[in-house]
This record gives sequence, C-alpha cells and structure tokens, in this order.
Amino acid sequence: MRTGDEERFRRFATDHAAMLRRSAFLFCGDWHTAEDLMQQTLIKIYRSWSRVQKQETLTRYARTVLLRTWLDEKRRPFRRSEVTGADLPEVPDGSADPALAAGRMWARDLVHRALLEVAPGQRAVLVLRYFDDLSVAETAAIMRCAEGTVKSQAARGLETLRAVVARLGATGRVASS
Amino acid sequence: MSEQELREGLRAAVADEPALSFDPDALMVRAQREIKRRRALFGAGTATVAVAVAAVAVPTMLGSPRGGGNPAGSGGGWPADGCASGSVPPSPTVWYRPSDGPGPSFPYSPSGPSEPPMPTELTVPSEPPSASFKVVVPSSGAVPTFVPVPSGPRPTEPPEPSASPCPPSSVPPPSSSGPPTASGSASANQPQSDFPWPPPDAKQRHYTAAQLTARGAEMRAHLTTDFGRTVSGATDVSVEEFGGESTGAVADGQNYLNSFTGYARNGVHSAVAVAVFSPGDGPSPSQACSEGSCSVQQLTAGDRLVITKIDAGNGAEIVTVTHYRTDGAVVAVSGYNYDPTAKTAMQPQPSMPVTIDQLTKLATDPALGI
Repeated sequence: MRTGDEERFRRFATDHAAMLRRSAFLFCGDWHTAEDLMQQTLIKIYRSWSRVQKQETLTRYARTVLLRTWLDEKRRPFRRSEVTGADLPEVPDGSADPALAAGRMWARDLVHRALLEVAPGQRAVLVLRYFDDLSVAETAAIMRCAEGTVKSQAARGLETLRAVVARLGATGRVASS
Repeated sequence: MSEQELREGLRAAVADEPALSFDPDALMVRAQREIKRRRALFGAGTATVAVAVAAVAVPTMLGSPRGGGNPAGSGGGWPADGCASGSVPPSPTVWYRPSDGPGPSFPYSPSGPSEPPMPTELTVPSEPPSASFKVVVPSSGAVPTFVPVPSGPRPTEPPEPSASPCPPSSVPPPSSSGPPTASGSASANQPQSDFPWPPPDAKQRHYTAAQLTARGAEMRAHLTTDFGRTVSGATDVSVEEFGGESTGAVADGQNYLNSFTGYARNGVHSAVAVAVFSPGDGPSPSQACSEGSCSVQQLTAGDRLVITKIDAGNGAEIVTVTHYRTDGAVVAVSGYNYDPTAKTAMQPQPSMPVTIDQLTKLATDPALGI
C-alpha cells in the first residue's frame, strides 16, 4: 500500500474506530469482543483499501463489514452461547444525582439486557435503525436484504424488546408505549 | 417502549464505554502480517495442488506407468492391451507357454533389470517333464533360475499371437546376418501359426541327472574353446556350469539345460545365455514371438530360426535367436547389451556387443543341444 493510501486509512480508522466499537458492543454486549470486532473490521477494510477507499459510502461499507464480522463470529461454536449476568450490575455514578443516576443506569442496563435477548438479525436492525439512525433503505443496503424485510424485522424486534422489558421491568420503572 | 425511548436507552447503554486504546499503526502492521500469511498459505496450497495434478496427469499422459499398468504387478510394464509398444517398454520377461503338442512345455523367461531377485530356496520340481517353469534370470545374479508355475492361466501372460490385437512386428528381419547354414528361402515376419511345432516325429528323451551333468560339461568345454572364435574379439570368456534351476543343478527327467557365458568385448562385460531343450520340450514359435519384435527364417534343412528382439526398458535390449531343429530340439541363445550376470546396477550399452550372426552360429552349433 502506498504512503498516501496508508495515511488515508489511518485517518479513516481513527475517525471510525469508536463508532464501530459502540455498534459492535450493542451487537455483542461485551466491550472486549466489541473491540475485537472493530479491529477485525478495520483489518478487512485495510486489505481492500485500494478498492474501497474511493467509495462515497465508506461508512456504510464499514458497518456492513462489521455486521458480517459479528454474524460470522456468532456462528463459531465457542460463540454460540451468550453469557449474561443473572442480576443487573450496580455501578455507582457519583457525578450525577444519586436518585436520577440510579434510575438512568437501571433503564440503560435494562434496555441493553433486553436487546441481547432479541434475535441477532432483529437486534442488528434495531441498532442500525435506532442507534445509528439509518433509514430503512440504508439498513437494507447494509444488511443486504429487502426494505420490507428491514421493516418486518424492526417491528418484530421492537415487539420482542418490549416483551422482554416488560418482563424485566416488572417494577414499572420503564414506560411502555 | 417507544422508539424514542429505545434510542435513549441504546445511547445510554454505550455512555460508559471504556477508553479506546486504538493504535492505527499497530493495526496496519497486524493487517500486513495477515496479508503475508494468507499469501503464503495460498501459494503453498497452489503448489500442493499443482504437484498433485502433475503426479496424476504426467503418468496419464505418458501412458501406463512401468509396473502400474499391469494388474498383476509382475515384471512390470505390460501395456493395457497386452501389446508391446514403443512408448511403454515391455516386460523383460518372455513367457513360453505350453504348446498344443504332446510332451512337456517350458515357459522360458530371461529376466530383465526390473525382475526382482529370485529366492534361493527354490527346489527342483519332482516331475520336470510334466511341470511348467518360468526361467528367471536375475539382473544382478549370475545364475538363471527356473520357477515352477501353476498350471492355471497366468495374469501376466501376453495373449496368444493368433488372437492378439497387436500389430505385426515393425522390426525387419536381419538381412545381412543370415545363418551360415541358411542358403535359400528366408521369410520374414511369418505368422507364428504358420510354423507348427513340435514336429510330429519328435521323440521325447529321458535323461538322468548324471547324463545331463556329463552333457553340460561337454557343452561347457566346447563353449570355453569355441566361444572366442564365434564371437570375435571376446576376451575373459567364462562359461558357467550348465544346470537347471540353479547353476549346476540338474535332476532326473530334466529336459533342459542352461548356462551363462560371460565375456568382455571392447572393455565391456556382458554375457550370453544358452538354453537347450530336448526334442519336443522346447517353447513353441508362437510363444517365442509373444513379445517384442519377431522374425522367422526357414533354413534349407527344414529347421527354422526365430529371432526376437525385446526392449527391456531403460535402454536395455535382449536379442534371442532360437533354433528349431528338425528333430524337435530347441536351442535358444540370448545376447544382452548389458551384463545380466553383474552384481551391480544394470548399465545398458548403446549397442549390442554380439551380432545376430554370432548368436545364430551359437544357436545352430550342433555341439550344443540335448
């Protein structure tokens, strides 16, 4: 790879690493695995950098690679079971009001835990649609499926998520629509 | 839960992300290392596939591999259709199968370089006149040996000449090497079926071991004194004791004798094999012509010569002149362009050290025979 290409890739990786890791975390629910997924994604993009660097939708391409990398990772035998904690962790946040911070933390963990119980395909749609704020068409392009599939997967994912939240949030701390 | 609540919940889920210790340079180094590893793996895989394809394709393109085309795996190198071809050297083993006529038969096989050495514990058959044998000459041994062969069909036998799909021999008969006793009609490449054998008036003989030993000694003495005159320029002539299954080994009722005569010519060592068969017991002409190129010559007295030339592979050639005598006796003399008695690896010479004329003189020598 030429020096100019390396510089462009370095800039791209630096700008997108955090974003890719966050999406990966929502996919897999573990920061360490998310960092591995982010690095694998960037390595795959590096291998094809001379071919893909001129694409206008490079960010979308990176999301596609990340999604494929995560799905491939999930298919590996030692990744097929997701380990989740039996109880919600209690992490103190001293920078905020204790009462409000506890409420946000509870809601955050509840959503994240409920998201991990949604099927991988539906989870990916929810992350792309409601975290990355992508349109149905963009989500369909990343997932390489029809827009109708995105809509149906999003609807089913939301339905599943609400059911899980309702089950986990039996105390009524999370509003339901 | 509304979509907005979901958005807020997702953002809150990643709000406490740990610090990102990301080094793009280290990532690029790792990526380059993986690229090199993948290229090396791909190259090794491609080379492996190429070697495997070549290992299969080359023998296929070159025809049946030596020893591979023969289902029996004996002698190595029979073409699939039983024909001797130029591209695939035939087996150096020449089978002389039992004739249709009365009396015992002798499958005769001067061995080539690929013939494995014969075991030493072979025994003389108890009933030589009724048994079948394969004469095997180890390339590294000095003694031709006879191996009992079951009476059933042998998988390595070439087909009968009459039923053989092989084309006629392409090697012309020797034009300037006619036998000294031949003075007239000589016909080349005659079909073997035109040459009935043995003659109806052939009378089988029974020899005791003592008689065979005495006769072998006479022929040995004769060759010792006369070989140098027949094969001009031959030095270091050494005639082995005539025998059967091994050097000097004879048995009552044995109807053949054989021996090697070693010599040197122009500094190159070689040997001539002499095998004599009693009347009615030698190989038939069709059996003699079952492999390699073959020509038949009829002599004035009614006797015939069968001259065969066998490509034994790796540059080795065997020329055999077989004299079919009027009394039914057979004398076969073989010349080699290598030393069949050598203890070392075969070293074929570019030319045959003996001529067909010289082999013919030996085969038609009345002093040889039983």
